[in-house]
Order: sequence, then structure tokens, then C-alpha cells
Amino acid sequence: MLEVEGLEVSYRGNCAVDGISLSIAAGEVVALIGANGAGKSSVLKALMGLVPAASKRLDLDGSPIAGLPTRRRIQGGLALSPEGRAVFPRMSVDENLSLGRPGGGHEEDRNAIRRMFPRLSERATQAAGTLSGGEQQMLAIGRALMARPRLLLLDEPTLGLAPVIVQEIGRIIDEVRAAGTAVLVAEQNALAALGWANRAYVLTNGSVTMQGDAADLIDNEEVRRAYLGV
Amino acid sequence: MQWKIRMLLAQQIVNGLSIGLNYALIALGLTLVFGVLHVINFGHGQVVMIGALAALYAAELLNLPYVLTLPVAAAAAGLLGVVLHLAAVRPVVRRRDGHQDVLLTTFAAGLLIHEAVLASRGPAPARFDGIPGVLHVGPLMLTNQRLFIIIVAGLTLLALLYLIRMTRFGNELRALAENEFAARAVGIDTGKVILVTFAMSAAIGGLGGALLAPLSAFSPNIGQGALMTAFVIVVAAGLGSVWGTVAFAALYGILESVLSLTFDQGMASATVSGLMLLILIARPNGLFGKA
Ligand SMILES: Nc1ncnc2c1ncn2[C@@H]1O[C@H](COP(=O)(O)OP(=O)(O)OP(=O)(O)O)[C@@H](O)[C@H]1O
Ligand SMILES: [Mg+2]
Repeated sequence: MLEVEGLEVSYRGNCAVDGISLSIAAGEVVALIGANGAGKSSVLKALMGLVPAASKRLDLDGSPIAGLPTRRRIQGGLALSPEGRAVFPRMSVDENLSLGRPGGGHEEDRNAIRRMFPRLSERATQAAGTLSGGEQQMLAIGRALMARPRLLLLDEPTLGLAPVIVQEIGRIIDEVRAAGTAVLVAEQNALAALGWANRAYVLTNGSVTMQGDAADLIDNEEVRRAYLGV
Repeated sequence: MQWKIRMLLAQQIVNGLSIGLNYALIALGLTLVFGVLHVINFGHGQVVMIGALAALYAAELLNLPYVLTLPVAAAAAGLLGVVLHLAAVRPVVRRRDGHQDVLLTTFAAGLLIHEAVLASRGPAPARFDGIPGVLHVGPLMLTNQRLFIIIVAGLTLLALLYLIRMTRFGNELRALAENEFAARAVGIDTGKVILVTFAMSAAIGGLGGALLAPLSAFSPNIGQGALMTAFVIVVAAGLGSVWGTVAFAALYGILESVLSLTFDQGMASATVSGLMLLILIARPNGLFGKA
């Protein structure tokens, strides 16, 4: 459903993403792994239209989305849960959720999110900034899901979270996929991400250096040494 | 306390509330723009002046009754706000150090507006009639204009607070104020929100100018004073705090009025500003700002 060729992102002349290509099929979970500064967030931001980018091809369901504003891409089926949660701290959980969908959230979607994240539903009127780190991450994911994406982009969802919460995020990704939504997850935590994903890309200094089935990459010597610390 | 003094005090509190709500209209323009852009719009005072001037012309040239000149004031000022944004803010704010530049460009745009008005009609003040008459409530005496200010400013503030807290636009505005990147990530058209915020801030500022002018007279120089008062209020209240701005503006107006019983007007304003400075020393983020 997503086809990317020759994607480039640079900041004031410094190249952060150097002509990468990737593709994601409907209902697939794909991991984008790499070290600090490898360019993972830049890729996701470029897909959302949040940073200036160039590409040979950037198609969602066969139609080009390059140059479209973020809102149109969200309407086209993309949604991002940004790195570092990035919730609206002084707004309530419910207000955060309703902002997830351009033009306003629907009650039935909000109810679906509440069923998926019972802890958020208990805190509907609480200010988002008072939630725990794990809860804020759930809220950021829930907010993205409010847009009913067909491809959910998750940027570093496990950052700074306890192992139980990391497992919880795995459960959510499974649930999202089961509902038919594809997921592209950028992670430094390669072990977790490869555990969730069908396929993965390894990003090094802005280039894809390896790609393949997640199960194969977990066993790959180089990946194990560089990203799994074994 | 003597009965007479108590009455005088009560009267000054009501007068102060009236002028305080008027200050709130003007100061909120600074607060809202600061919220979405994190810059102080130093052209705001001249927008307020243009609002008053537009009302004056609408009365003089079109023979409109005072009440109907108010929408004209808001519309003219709102339009000027849009122009100010397109000409002095948008082209520079995204540049490196753009936020500092905006202080200068908005200040310069304000000067330009001020000079243009001085050039076209001179510095002489003009009589500006508001709602005539005086209301006696027991021993209290309230001019109808001040009463009218309480009603119009009060209703406008309520409408504005409703807009900010309860509507989609308000949610988008607050989201942008809290986290610009996240706001863009959820698809908010931040450019549009900023433009509308500018227009709205200018419109209520212009309305504030047209409500305030009848209390003295119209002068091309009312903008500077309005900007200074609004600036002191928003800084002391904690930049970006909407409720803080309203509460502080009311407090400022009341203190100023009460102090004017013993000091002259200028001394009263200076004293209130001094008090605000003390607040800032005690609480550098303002009384209502995050500690
Ligand atoms: N707004 C920006 N301005 C300038 N340089 C940037 C900007 N954002 C990212 N970069 C640079 O681009 C490169 C890639 O950054 P990016 O955030 O995409 O990496 P990442 O893989 O997400 O890293 P992390 O795992 O730390 O989140 C880095 O060298 C970073 O310093
Ligand atoms: Mg990143």
C-alpha cells in the first residue's frame, strides 16, 4: 500500500536520509531499526509531510502523496504517533483523542480507543501531562488511531518504558494489525521491534543497509552484534 | 471606615472593573498571539488605535450610532491584523532568530501605522462620544459608557473563552500553543490557525479601542499606552495564560481606579505597574504562569 523510492531528507544541507526505498503491504508490520541519529524519525516525518523531503516515488495506494499537506495524508490513511509521546499536556485525554482526526473525532472511534486502552478511559478528563510515561505513549498511539489509519507510523514507542509496558505495546500492535491496519514502527529497541514485525529495514547513517524477514534478521550475525548487543 | 469613603471605594471598584475588562480585551490579543507564535506583537497598540479611529470615522462620515460603529472597529482592526501578519510576521518568523525579528517588524509596522495617522489627521485629540448619560444606583454613580463596557467586554470575553475551551478551533489553537510539532503531526493547519488568531486578536483589540476612547477622547497616541498596559498585564499574569490575563486585567483596572482616589491618574498607573514588577520579581513566570 505504501511505495517509497529514493527518499531523501536533509536539514540545512546535511543529509539525514540518503535516498532510501521501502514498501509496505496492507496488514503488514514492518520495523525500521537503527542507532541514534540513523534517520528513522526523519523517514516517518517525511512520510507524514512534516519535514521537507524529495523522492523519486512516494505512493499511497497507488497515488502520489508527495507535496500533500499532512492533513490530506492523514485523510488518505496515514497517522503518526510521534517520538517522545508529544501529547498536548494541559489538554484532557479526551481532547487529545479528538484532535487525532482532522475535523474532529467521532464518538464511536473514541469508544473503540477506550476499549483498547482501559487505563485511558479511566482518565478521560485528566490532563494528559499528568499521565505516566506509559499512559502518555498509549494516548499518543490512541490519538493516531482516532484517524482510522490504514498505515500506522509509530516512532520509538518503547522509549524509556518498563518491560511490561513494552509488552503491552506489542499486544496493541497485534490488535491493530488484526483489525487490518499496517504498522511501520521505528525503534532502537531492535529486539522488541523484530519480535513484533513481519519484515524489517536496518537504517545506518541514512541508508538502508539490510532488509528482510524479521525472523531472519534476528538470527543475522551483524544485526545481533550491532543492535541486539549479543 | 466612613460611609462616604466606603461608597467612593465601591464606586471606584465598579469603575475599575469596567476599565479592567476593557484592558482584558486588549491584552488578550497579545496573549493569544503569544500562545500560538511565542512572540509579542508590538504592533498591537496601533491596531487598537485604528479600531478607535475606524469607529470615529464611522460615526463622523457614515453617521452611524455609536453601537454600530463597534463592529466597524472590530472589522477594520481585524483586517489590519491580517495585513500585519502577512506583511510583518509570516515572512520573518520561520527564519533563523525569526522570533526576535518579529518583535522588530511588528514594532516597525506599528510605527508606520502611527505615523500614517499622524500625517493624515495631525496629533490633535478628537471628541469621541460613547453612550451618553449616567446611572445612579443609590449613592453610586456610573456613567452609561462604563456600564456598557462591562456588558460588551464581559460578553465578548465569555464568547472568546467559550471559543477557546469548547470549539474545534479552540482545541486546535490550544494544541498549537502547547506543542507545535504534535499539532502539525495530527494534521492541524497551523498557518491557518495562526492567521485566524491574528485576525481575532486584532478585532477584539480594535473593539477594546473603540470602547475605551469615549472615556477620554480619541488621540492618535492612545496605542502606546494601550500596548504598555496590555504588556504589563500579560507579562505579570504569565505569558500565554488566558484566564490569568483576564483576572489580571480586572485587578489592574480596579487597583488603578482605587489608587486614583489619592494619586493622579499617571501616578496610579505607575504604582500598579510597580506592583506588577514586584510580582514578577517574586514569581518570574507571572502570577498564573507555571512555576
Ligand atoms: N530538525 C532538524 N534539524 C537539523 N538536523 C536534524 C533535525 N532533525 C534531525 N536532524 C539530524 O538528522 C539526523 C537523523 O535524525 P533522526 O531524528 O531522523 O534520527 P533517528 O534515527 O530518529 O534517531 P533517534 O533514534 O535518536 O531518534 C541526525 O543527525 C539529526 O541530528
Ligand atoms: Mg528518532
